[in-house]
Amino acid sequence: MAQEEVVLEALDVHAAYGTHAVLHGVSLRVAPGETVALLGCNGSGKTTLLRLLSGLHAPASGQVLLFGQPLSRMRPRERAHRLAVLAQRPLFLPGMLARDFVLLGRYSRLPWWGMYSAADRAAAAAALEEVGASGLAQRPMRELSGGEAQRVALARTLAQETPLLLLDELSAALDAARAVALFDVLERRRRRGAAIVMAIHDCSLAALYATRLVGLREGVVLFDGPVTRVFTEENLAALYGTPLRVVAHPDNGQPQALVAQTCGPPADGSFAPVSRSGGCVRS
Amino acid sequence: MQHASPFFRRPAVVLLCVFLLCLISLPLSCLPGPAGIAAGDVWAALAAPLGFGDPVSSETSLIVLDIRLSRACMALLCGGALATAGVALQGVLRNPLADPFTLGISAGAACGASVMIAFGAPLAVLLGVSAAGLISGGALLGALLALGGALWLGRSGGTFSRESIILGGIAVAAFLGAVVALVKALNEESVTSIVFWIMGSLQGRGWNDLPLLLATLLPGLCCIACCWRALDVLGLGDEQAAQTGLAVGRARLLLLLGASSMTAGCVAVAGVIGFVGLVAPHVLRLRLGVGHGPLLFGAFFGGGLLLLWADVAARSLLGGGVEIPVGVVTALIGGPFFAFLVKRR
Repeated sequence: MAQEEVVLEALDVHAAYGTHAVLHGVSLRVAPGETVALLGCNGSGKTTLLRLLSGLHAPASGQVLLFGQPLSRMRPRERAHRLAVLAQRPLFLPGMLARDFVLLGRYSRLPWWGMYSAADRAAAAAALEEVGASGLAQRPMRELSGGEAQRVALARTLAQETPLLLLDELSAALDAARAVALFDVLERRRRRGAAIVMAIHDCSLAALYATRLVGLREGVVLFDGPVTRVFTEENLAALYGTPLRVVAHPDNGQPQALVAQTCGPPADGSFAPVSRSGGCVRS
Repeated sequence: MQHASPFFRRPAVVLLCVFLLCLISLPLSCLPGPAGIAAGDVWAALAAPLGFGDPVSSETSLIVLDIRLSRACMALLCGGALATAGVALQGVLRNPLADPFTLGISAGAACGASVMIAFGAPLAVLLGVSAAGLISGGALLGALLALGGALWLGRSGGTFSRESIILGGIAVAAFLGAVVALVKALNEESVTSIVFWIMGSLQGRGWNDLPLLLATLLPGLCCIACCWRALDVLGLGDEQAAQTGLAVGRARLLLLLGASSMTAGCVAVAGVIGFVGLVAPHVLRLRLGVGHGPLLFGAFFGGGLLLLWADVAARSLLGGGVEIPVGVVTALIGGPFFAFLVKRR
């Protein structure tokens, strides 16, 4: 990892919606070939930070630099050449074919007369192939399942061919197999030098794919570092406010988190008696 | 799952058919009329300027070329402009029920025209223009002022949000509608003319009105043509459109101005002709899909075709030279269609 080279840099950014402050002085550096996972509870500021990093939301103070240039002064087209975003809930025209939807990712490269070139079509086809959705190309978006639409949306993001990808909850609508397949796609992109920043709820999946973890709690960075150093029981308990156990993955030794105590049935298979209040007392 | 679409469903074939139908309809629409000219003479009159066939009497030539053909061309251009503006506004506002008059342009034009009909006679003498010219001018001015008002109301925080633009249009339309009612109350003898004008008509329109129409239509078409792909991108929602590289605010303003300029020109020439901007885009969307390139092209010719034949119906249904306002004909077609659209949503 070249220390000098920085794709994206947030310098002490603060953000607020109206009077409600969401981020309190967050700093972050992302280098090429890094996958940074943003961890945190709901409302911890992950999505807001992603919005700031993608230029959608202006920081109340502090600034975001993309390849050393202030993001706020970049034109949309320049920005779209450098970073691509996958939203949590991608919108689309329902009647649009998946292929045409993916082609919209090439918009920033179109000439003024707006026609796609052969290179654009090839990039869109390659992106669909990459996410394993070539078979969906001719289907209208409204006919796709949530997971299929998410894959096609990722293809649109990839078709933008940017050195930086920002992803908000890629795996939320996907089953485990599909999620792993898409994270594999992102890992291949990373190995080719792309920088990836993703907000993710599944911290175990994050530990398998991210090179760095950033924990956000109430708009403040709680920890920031390589997986092996920061993925600890103390950090995770502080982050999520519930005890988690960290164990080694049996295949590759990466740390994985397990919920420590639950109300689930006991391990011996006997059913716990149901208390009158329906509550669950953790020891 | 690749469907080989049937030949007549391919967008390119549909577009070609609509275009050819327009070409055929222009001379065909010159056939009916109160002057009772035989079909053979009509063909001869149409062919004469092209250097074919036998010469016809100057009277026949005048009726066919300067009255019927010029009116057909105006209908084609107005219909095309209204439908294109409809596609653009539906795309920009991401609202299938938007039409060229969503921004209060019709109310502005009606207001400007009403004031001129009721109180404009001295002004016409003063300026030395015809009454019809003054009404057109008043309508254009009213339309532009209403548009300005709606955009001003719809502008919040330096950008134009979809909701506030629509609300701005509604507010402007409601206010100007009241002004028209006031004008009618103050000047009762002008009520019939105002009502007839508001219903929209191409009666008496011809080559004289072409410069005014083209002066608003061509800049409008240019604005929309520059941003046609942006209409597709805007379907992703403002935020994702911006992340895809679109300067959302600028594209939206250009498209709104383009669509409004075209609409204002049509309204100044032909009054308020409803539903063309709604019916033509939706029918064509069924065949051409949601991509805006083919849709804008198809809507121009499809809308023209619709208004051309609606105008033929308007001037020949009653016979004896009595006309129905063409806005009534399009509303009679458009009303039920609109209901169907709402029901199916």
